[in-house]
Amino acid sequence: MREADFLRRISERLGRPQPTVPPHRMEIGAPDFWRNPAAHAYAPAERFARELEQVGGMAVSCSSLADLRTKLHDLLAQWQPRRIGTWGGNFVQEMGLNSVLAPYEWIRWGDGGTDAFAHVDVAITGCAFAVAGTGTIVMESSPERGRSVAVLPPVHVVLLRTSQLRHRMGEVLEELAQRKPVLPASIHFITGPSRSSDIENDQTIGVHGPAAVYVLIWPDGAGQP
Amino acid sequence: MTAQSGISERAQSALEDDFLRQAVRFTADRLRGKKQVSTEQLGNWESWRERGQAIRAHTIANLDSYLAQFADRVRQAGGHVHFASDAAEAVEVVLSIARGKGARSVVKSKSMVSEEVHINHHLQNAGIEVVETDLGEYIVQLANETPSHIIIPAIHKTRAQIRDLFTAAGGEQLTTDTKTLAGFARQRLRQKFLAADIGITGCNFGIAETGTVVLFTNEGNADMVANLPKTHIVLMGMERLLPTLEDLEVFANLLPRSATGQPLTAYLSMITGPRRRGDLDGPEELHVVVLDNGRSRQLGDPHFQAVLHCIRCGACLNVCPVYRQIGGHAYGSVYPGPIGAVLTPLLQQDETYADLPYASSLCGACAEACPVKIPLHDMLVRLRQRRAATGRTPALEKSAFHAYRVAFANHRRYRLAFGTARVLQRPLVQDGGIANGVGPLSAWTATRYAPAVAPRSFRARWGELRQTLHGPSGGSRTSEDGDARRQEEGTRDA
Amino acid sequence: MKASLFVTCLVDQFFPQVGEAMVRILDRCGVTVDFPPEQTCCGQPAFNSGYTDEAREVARTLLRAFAESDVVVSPSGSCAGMIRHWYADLFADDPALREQAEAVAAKTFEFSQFLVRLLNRPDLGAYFPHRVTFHPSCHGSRLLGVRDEPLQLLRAVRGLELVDLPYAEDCCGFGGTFAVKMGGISGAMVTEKVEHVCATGAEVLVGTDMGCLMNIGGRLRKLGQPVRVLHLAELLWEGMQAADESGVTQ
Repeated sequence: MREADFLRRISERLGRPQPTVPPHRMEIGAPDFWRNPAAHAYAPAERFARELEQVGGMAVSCSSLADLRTKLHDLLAQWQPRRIGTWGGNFVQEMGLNSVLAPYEWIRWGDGGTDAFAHVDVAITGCAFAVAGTGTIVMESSPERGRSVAVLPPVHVVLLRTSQLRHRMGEVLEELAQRKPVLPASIHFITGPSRSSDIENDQTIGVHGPAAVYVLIWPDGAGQP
Repeated sequence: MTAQSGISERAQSALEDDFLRQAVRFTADRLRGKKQVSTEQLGNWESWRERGQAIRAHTIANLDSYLAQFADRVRQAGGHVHFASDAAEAVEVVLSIARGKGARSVVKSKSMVSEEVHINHHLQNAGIEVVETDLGEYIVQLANETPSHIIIPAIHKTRAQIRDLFTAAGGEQLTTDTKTLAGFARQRLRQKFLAADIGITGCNFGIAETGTVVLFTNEGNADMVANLPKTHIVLMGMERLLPTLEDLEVFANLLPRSATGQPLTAYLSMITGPRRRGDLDGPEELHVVVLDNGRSRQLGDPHFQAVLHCIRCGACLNVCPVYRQIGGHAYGSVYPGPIGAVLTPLLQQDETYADLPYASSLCGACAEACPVKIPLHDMLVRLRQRRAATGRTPALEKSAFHAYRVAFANHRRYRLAFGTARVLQRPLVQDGGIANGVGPLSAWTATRYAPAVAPRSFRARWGELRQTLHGPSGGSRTSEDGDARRQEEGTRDA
Repeated sequence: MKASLFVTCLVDQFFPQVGEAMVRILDRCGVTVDFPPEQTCCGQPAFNSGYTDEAREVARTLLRAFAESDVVVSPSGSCAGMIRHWYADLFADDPALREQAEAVAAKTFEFSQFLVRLLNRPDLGAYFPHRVTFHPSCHGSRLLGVRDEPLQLLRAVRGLELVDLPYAEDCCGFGGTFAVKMGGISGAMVTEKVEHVCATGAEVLVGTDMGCLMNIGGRLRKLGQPVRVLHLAELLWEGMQAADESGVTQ
């Protein structure tokens, strides 16, 4: 059906010849009490960790970037992954991870095609935001930050700066809305590992996406928003 | 199961399936319990519902404008938008995209709209392999069935049945252990994702101001369906819009909590157009197919427009005492439960599903559970009104209500009718009850005693009763009292 | 206070003792009760089956019967709910009748609602030394919003042990004509309800709607389960008489 006809049918049913500008509305987004910071009077890093662990993820608190490298080193030593995949671009250098990754086979997003990431055991990425109230990390796609990095491997390690933490999803959505008209092609809100209860209500993790999500949180000194 | 039989017959076979009933009860209980906990944790649930209702009502009342905006934004982000008046048009759009790509395989994530247009059937007829990738949908597909719950499609399958299905699909030495079964699906479906030419998803919400398609999943399969194949087709009901990104926060709270009691699903994915310049993954083409298929008929209808507010959470199924007894397949329709009993006969206004609105005791649990406050209970009543107005209700029922009108619209005829009943019931009554009724009453007495009409009605007792009251109620007897008494005593003597 | 009794067709013809208990309680509370004889039925059986014209004609008996009443009180949350929730809509096409319908709707109350909210009498001084469970009727609680009132009345009864009914809020499967039209489903629903009732170990099941109670009671009787089924008014009146006799005071 032609778009114009399709829309006209709707307009006519709604009692007008063509679409009109929607009236001003008072009720946009979350209720006022939810927008009030008083409703979220908790320390975001602790809350984030608690919520993430509730859904089967693991939060690791780091005192500094150096501490983060040590903790990442220890985790990898424990897992002994056959292959690690990271974001592309300068991510590894910026985070100073070269020596941590050196003992392992590792690839960056962009080294080879998507298929290469289908054989990665551990993905290491940053994120754009995190939502403390639900233990959620937010990933945005870009040429150096492929969508598949976080979804294909069985383990996903996220390096989160405290300045990226928000209390509630609405704050992230408001910041995203600033980037209208065109958002990043893909934005993922990820809350813990992939899971399903489709077999006799028995919850299992890692059905398609990662079975383990580790978030290493470090204070980047930029202060809380 | 098709809708060739009526809901009563289909319900009867469901009632004889003990596993099904136990599984449905167990799942419904679990989801209800989790929903309660998660809404209490959130707090102010009524305020959230009211906000959700307000946003949905505003969106639907201005759907033409928001849909035009959404389509513009999708195109601005590099996507294509197609408008399908009905299921056949939607199928044709998908098939022509598939033909244009020379597609041989399609992966899908869960989508009720795709069930509504039976896209799998049509793609397979065109020689294209279709693989459902949601674990529950995959199970249902292997069993050659349809989903029996909006959120938990394979609610009716045992793990032993699932093992057998997976074994038939090539699984080796599988146990009935959940991990093993899920592991087989992961490995098998991973190959399908990487090899597929087209990915088809539904759309939980479309954001009008940005042209964004929003998907809620727990498994992560929708992300793979959307990201890995070169072409991504989104099938969306035309009512699925929200005006702004900010509005999404409300529905990110309402939908997962109402559906599964989760504060948020594991994945909430926002897709705005196809891959951008320089991106190494994501689809090269994004097609959004917007489906009407009977939805626009509800617009402007004072009683039914609100059915388009539905966000497909399944909360009404989980509280419905009828769904609890018979499960989803007995409805015979794509959408089961209370929302299905309302939506299905509205979308398809012929005889096929005309009996669904009667599959309800009108208890109102559905409306109470609905996160956007759709008055499902009222709609069920109004659909029955609509049905009765066509004159196609059963003759016996019509004559029964005709008789009711004659007898009950006047108190004298009413007394006479019950007087007659007192006489007629005599052969059936034992100890003030009826164990085995005849005619329609036998549907009642199959499981329970029926009460007998009392020897003397309240109104026949009233005259004497009021004489014994302390307060100033006691007064002169009206002729009515005498009438009632004489009449009932008369019929007793008859 | 003066109140008109809307006894409902079911209580009038099948369970007159419920109407009597209710009148006696109201009388004891100082309410002047009258019974307008023109009343028959609220019209719900036809209305819920989609037969609007039939329902409307029957409903008019109530508009006439209660035109002069100050307050209308009924032993059924379902019938009171029908009046409150639907009457304005049922008579929407006739402005004069609609006005009458709205007037009747505004002054109609279910029995426990009337006692607790209007009379402010949650404690009737009753004595009823039994284990009791309560089934909240769907229409009373959901259409009419009567949720806590029956429980307040029961909690005030001396000697009464109130046990929670599991899945209390689930429909018993009555649903008027549904019970006959979809007899199999309705039977499965009442079977589950009765399992929950029996699981409580209660001697008495109490409710605020005879439709639900005759359904649940009919199933209990079919199974030979020795659970007494009582309308709230019956229980309270029995308890008030027991208190009189035993000298249990308020």
